[in-house]
Amino acid sequence: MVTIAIVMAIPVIVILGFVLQPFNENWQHLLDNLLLEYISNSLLLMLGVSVGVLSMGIVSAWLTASCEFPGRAILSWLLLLPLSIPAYIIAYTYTGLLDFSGPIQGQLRVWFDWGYGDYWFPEVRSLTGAICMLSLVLYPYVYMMTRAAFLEQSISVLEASQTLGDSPLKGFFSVAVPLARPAIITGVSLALMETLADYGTVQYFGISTFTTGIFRAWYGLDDSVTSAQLASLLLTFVVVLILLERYSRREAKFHSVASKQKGVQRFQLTGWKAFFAALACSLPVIFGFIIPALQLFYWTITTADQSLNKDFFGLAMNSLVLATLAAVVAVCLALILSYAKRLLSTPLVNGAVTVSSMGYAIPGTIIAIGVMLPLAWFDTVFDGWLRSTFNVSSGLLFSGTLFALIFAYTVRFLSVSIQAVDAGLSKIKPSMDDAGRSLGLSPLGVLKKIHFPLMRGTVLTALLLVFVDVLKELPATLILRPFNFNTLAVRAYEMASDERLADAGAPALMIVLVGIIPVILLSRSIANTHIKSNNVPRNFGISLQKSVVTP
Amino acid sequence: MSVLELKRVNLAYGKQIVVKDLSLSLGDGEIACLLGPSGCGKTTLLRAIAGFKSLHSGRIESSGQVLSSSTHTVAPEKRRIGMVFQDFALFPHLTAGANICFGIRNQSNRERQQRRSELLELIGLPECEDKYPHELSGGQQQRIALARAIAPKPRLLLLDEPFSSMDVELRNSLAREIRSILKHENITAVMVTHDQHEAFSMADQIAVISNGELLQWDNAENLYHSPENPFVAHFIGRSNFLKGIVCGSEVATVLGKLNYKIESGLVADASLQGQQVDVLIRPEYIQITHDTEQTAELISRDFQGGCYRYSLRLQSGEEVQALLPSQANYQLGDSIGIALSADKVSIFAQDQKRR
Repeated sequence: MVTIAIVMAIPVIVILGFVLQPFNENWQHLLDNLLLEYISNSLLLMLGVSVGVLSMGIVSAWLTASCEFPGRAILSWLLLLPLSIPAYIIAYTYTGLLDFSGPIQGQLRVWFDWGYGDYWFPEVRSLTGAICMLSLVLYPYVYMMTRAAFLEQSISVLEASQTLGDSPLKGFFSVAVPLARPAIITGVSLALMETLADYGTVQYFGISTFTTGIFRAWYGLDDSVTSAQLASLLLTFVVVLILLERYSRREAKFHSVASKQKGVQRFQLTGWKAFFAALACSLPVIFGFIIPALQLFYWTITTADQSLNKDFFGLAMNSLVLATLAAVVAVCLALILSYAKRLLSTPLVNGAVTVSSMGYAIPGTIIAIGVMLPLAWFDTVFDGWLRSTFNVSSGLLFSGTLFALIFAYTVRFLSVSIQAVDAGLSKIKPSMDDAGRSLGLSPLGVLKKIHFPLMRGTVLTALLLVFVDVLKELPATLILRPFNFNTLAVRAYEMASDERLADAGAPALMIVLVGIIPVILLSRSIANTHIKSNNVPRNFGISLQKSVVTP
Repeated sequence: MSVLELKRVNLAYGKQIVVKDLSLSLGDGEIACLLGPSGCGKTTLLRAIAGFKSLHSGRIESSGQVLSSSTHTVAPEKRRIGMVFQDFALFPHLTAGANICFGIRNQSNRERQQRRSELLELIGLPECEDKYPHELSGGQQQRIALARAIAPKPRLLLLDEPFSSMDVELRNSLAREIRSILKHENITAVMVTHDQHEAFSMADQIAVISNGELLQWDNAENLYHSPENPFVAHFIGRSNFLKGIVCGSEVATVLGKLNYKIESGLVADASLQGQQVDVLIRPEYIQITHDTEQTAELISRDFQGGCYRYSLRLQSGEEVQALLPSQANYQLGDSIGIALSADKVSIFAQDQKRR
């Protein structure tokens, strides 16, 4: 257990270790010219995304949780769909749509007979653009957490505020939002973690942030020390967010006034009110999912004859193998950790599980560098030793191999599988083990006859969740992939970087389509079980609960 | 030979002893109940009998076979002891019928089917065979759990707070029903509960446990009318203690002289004479009468349907509770003439009222 935790913590420890290294002249250069820009851009991005996800997330959560209007039921799960689109992919689609050469501007020029420079049009590839893109795909975190909190709130609290003279809308601001505050903060901190981790969008839009800075130091300057030092600075931002998230999750327990009331009473909206409610909930779906998905679909069709060739299936195969391997490793480790926690719940084991599940908050870039540096060091030392003693070369054993990639994915996504496995395992009450024993099963028999059939669905879910996350992960893959080894995400990134957006369509669409599966699972489990706001994990790490356990 | 024999059983969590030197024995077909406040060690003891917890010292035997000793614990699956769990622990992936057959999966198909329909008939749920646990109500789950536990014909059945998740009305009817099922199948059983009414309606023999110690092992009537110990007197039923002085074969209280029987903490020798003791007065021993000088002031009352529960302050300043018919309608502050009517009362040494 402890070994797993230590291995999982290696990347972060390595990164932090570099703070102690002497700063070199590149760092001085950074300090003089770029660091301020990195920090201010990252902060502006975080600020903008907070505003974006809060406004979209809270409004849609409240409307779908406490009001009744046509289309509410379907919208309440459609609102989750943007989660399936990675930020860099939505950035490509809107660039394609809104660029100078895109269909929108082109049509405007035709209609008004404008030429280049005759008119002003908002520039997508800007900080504001990046804020919009990230907000559009990250608001579901706030939506999901806040909605769960609103549903959990006892209706009588709102009614109490009305008997004390508040209108429904005023009650929303004076009672519902303050009560949901911990859930809202958790949602925002999750969205901000993703914002900090983003590389694809900011790189494509040419915005200098920490992640692009790390890449520049790593590839441009070939200076691993400086990039690790930048990474550790980014890590401090992340730690603040982790603390914020932990704190608000704890807080949420005190704020939950859950009473076991069945059937939520919703305000019936009619006429123009209902229309605006439906509109407010449709806009995030239209802009966050439907338009980008249609654009990807269009690109895929127009380029089908060239893009859907043997090459493409090779890519898909690479992605498939990689994601499957990482999912299997992560889920096996999660099973070991979760069972250890169940059988011997000592502080040491619990601590090991906590450490092992920290990876979700840490940007892929940091993990990739934290994995690369020690492996490369080991390879060099081992190779040197072989050469000097046996006069043979081992070549690169770990760095630049699939091992490094899978290690990094496991660090990053282990928490997703731990959460899913934990949720499934918690449904098998200890008394069921005892019941099996008293009915004549050996401990192994209990595992076979009771745990295996009950955990099958859970394990599949956990596998799927890690699989999809790996498929979407871009920065870690870019840094760690073996030479000439491409995945769908990398191909989409490369095509977009070469300004061949249409060719990025097919791999991107593939990622989005697979990404929809966990969103559907998530919305089903939300529909089936009443999820407490402080139990809604990140990255859809929710087991299918009832829908899987009950045949 | 007794079906269950506990010999000086000690159980511990780490260094903390939670069950101390507990011995008792249970005959064939008897239903026993471990009764005590929560945290007294009764559930730990039950888990030790089931084989989920090993002994610190002592022995657990069944029909001459040693099940547990400090050095050896027979695995739960080899004990032929059935158990009904507090949360029922039905397997959610199996139907009610399959749950019942879980413990007899090695028998032939025909035997299994026969036993299953027999048990479903017995618990009155033949229509539930193909339903999954989540489709059943709490009471139905309870009965399926019982049927599952008794399907393999265990030598002993354990029930861990079987009614704690039910509402009061269901509790009473299920307790009666389950008792009749157990008696019908001639099953020896041990039940754990903290509720004396459950214990009274289920058990032949009750073990009152406090702080890991067995205080009394007796039937319900004896526990109520002759508790051996002030804790038992307090825990079972409602009780008042009055001060009394022993003189001869009687004990004198402010409410008159009564015959007594000696309980723990006192020795029947010459020194008893003239000693101050505590006298146990059950509320129903107190009667209203007009031809007495002994009056008491009514300080509170609690309507309970058929009767009132009155709190009365005696002239001596002591307070007692009495159960009196609800037709007699006294008001707060009234003075009521009272007298005692009991054949024998239990007396205890003073200063040891509560443990």
